[in-house]
Amino acid sequence: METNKESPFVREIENRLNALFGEEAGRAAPKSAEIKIAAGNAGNDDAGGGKEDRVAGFAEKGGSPVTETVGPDRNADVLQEAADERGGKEDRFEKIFGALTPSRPAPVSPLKDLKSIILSLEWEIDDSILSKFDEELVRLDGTFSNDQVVLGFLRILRFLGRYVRVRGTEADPGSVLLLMSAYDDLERILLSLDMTVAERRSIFLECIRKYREWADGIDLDKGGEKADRAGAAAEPRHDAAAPAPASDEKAEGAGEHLPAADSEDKPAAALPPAKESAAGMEEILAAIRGMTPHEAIAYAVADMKKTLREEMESLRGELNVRK
Amino acid sequence: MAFINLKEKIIQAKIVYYGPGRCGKTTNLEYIFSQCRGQVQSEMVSVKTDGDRTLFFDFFPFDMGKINEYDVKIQLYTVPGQVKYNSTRRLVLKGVDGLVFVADSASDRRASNVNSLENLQENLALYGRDICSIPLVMQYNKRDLAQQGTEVLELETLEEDLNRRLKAPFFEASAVEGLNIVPTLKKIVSSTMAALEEELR
Repeated sequence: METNKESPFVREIENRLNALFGEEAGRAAPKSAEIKIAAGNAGNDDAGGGKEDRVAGFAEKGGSPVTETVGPDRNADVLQEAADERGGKEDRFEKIFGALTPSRPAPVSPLKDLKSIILSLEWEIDDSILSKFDEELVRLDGTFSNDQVVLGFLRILRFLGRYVRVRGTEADPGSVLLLMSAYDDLERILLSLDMTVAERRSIFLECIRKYREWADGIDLDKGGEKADRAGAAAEPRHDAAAPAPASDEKAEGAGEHLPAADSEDKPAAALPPAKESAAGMEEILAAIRGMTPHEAIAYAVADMKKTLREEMESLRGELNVRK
Repeated sequence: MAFINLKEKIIQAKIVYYGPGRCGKTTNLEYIFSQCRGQVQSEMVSVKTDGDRTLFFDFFPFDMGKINEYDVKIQLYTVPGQVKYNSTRRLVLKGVDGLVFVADSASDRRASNVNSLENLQENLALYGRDICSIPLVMQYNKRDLAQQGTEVLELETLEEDLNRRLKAPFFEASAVEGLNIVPTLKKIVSSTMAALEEELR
């Protein structure tokens, strides 16, 4: 795809790339200088020599490649541009775009990392990605500790992530869709600068409604039995779903109160951050050490069910309070 | 087709690095990532097998900031090169806006290069896309092998095998040394943007 005369937009793209990567980035030092730069019509790159480079013109409608010959004049232009740029004699950006709005880097989204993980989940769901997902949600919990709506979304996402992780291939397909939908809503409320509090709340309540609808339609016990049959595979998953035992009671009470800052902390405590979950795992391993494999699995499954129920109870309670 | 939101003024283009297994697609992305780290606020996502091969794909989104009032976002993907992962390659090609075909310059990889290019053509055809109508840059990677005494394919041979009909812009490159990796990226990004602009007119 090449155009003889680059538009201002494309030139600006090239300038931005130069700004990001540098004019000479990628050029190897002396050893590799022997390798000729064989770029057919390389635009702002150093075009090779005086030979005629032929490039494909992909923009033409109809599909077949149309070639155009880059003649000596064009090459001379390219070489002149490159020479000017190397010598610092010309600031292409100012010359060409001086009248345009000054460019500025895009603002950094607080959901940048979470979005990367969500995009990964769209392609493939595995334990390591779900583990990163969980860790990122814990981190965001701290970042948005004063925003009840965001915390509510994070709780829903965390529960869904853990549900998928615990259930693995047995997870209800709707859970992933709901997770994506909840993320979209969260992104919307966080990135829309002019959204009112009422609008944010309305979006959140709608998300809770969808969550509740989904939760009412799934059978946790049925999944638990399947997980039981999955045998040893359930054991490592237990880590993600199991709360630290000392925090269980807090989680049970969380749904009975208006989710003010304090009460919001409770479920966060019930779902310990990565560091604490490692300690929790050790406790669980100690507890099951003397058990037969069957007993250990039963223990893990029972604990998992308990956690899932608690989370759902908590969210239902929250929904009732908000109504 | 790129994601273009005229109301929000967002342009998001998808560029895929394609090529045979172990040709250096992931190394390309890793080099790019290392070059713009600190200037681009995003992370590279990579899913590897035990043998450090790309299992699913590598994904590196970066934001170029506002250009003529448009927020321009580029998403770079690689595909797993091994033959057995063809379904994944197809999936990653969905909605592609620009392609970099990374060929392996080692002599014994000649057939793999040709097979991979044919595979690319077939997979694009499944989406009703013609390889000739998509912005494409050829990259002949691992040119540094010659300096290590490994037999490499002549540039003319690579051009004849892979680019005779397409006549796409091409670069000789070495991903491990970073030679011509960024120029390849610059070329495909500007070509892709030019194509999108053309399409919108």
